[in-house]
Amino acid sequence: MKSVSKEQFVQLIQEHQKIINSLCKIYYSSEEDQKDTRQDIILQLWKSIPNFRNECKISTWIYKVALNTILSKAKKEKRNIATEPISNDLESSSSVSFDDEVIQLQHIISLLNDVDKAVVVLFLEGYNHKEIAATLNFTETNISTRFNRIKIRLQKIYNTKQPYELR
Amino acid sequence: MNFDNLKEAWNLFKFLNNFDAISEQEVWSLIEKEATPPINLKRRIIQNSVICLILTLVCQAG
Repeated sequence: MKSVSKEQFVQLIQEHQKIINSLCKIYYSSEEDQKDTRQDIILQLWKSIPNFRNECKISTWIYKVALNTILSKAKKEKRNIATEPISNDLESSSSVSFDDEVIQLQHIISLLNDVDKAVVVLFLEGYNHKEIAATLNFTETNISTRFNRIKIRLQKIYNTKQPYELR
Repeated sequence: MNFDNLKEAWNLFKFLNNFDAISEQEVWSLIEKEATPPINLKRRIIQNSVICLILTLVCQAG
């Protein structure tokens, strides 16, 4: 993208704030961590925007930069996100409703590790395996295998704990 | 597990998170901070080389 002004960048962030906020909340339970991550993502987007070549949708590019920022941050922190009790934060969070579907979604995603969360989020966003692979810098085969493993793992959990829309 | 059933929930989740607004001020402060030029590496190398050269000459002269 040729020279984006600061005003244009601010507008771009505000137009896509739901993506950034959602990813931060999926990965982090504490508000402080969410805010720090949000700032890291915005900064990374600002640094990377001169390299955006309009080869994909701007939202795809935002997902790519945001998820890669989160994944490298988590790698540095050597954090096991899967063990974080996201569900504990549900009732206190102002932006999350008590809608059963959303709670169910957050619970399912909280059971996954960092990369698997990214895979599922991109799938829910409507991307196919090839696009997910390109976004996360994996091979398509790796994503397909990973996706099948996620399905099997969650199926096992839900078979033993609670029934949920199983096919 | 059918993930397609969760797509609607994901959209709702995103919708709810759209209310947690990122203020213009927050973005501005971040990019302004980034715009502040860091110490130029090239300049630092030249400065150190000059100091080193002067010190070498002074020591040799002594």
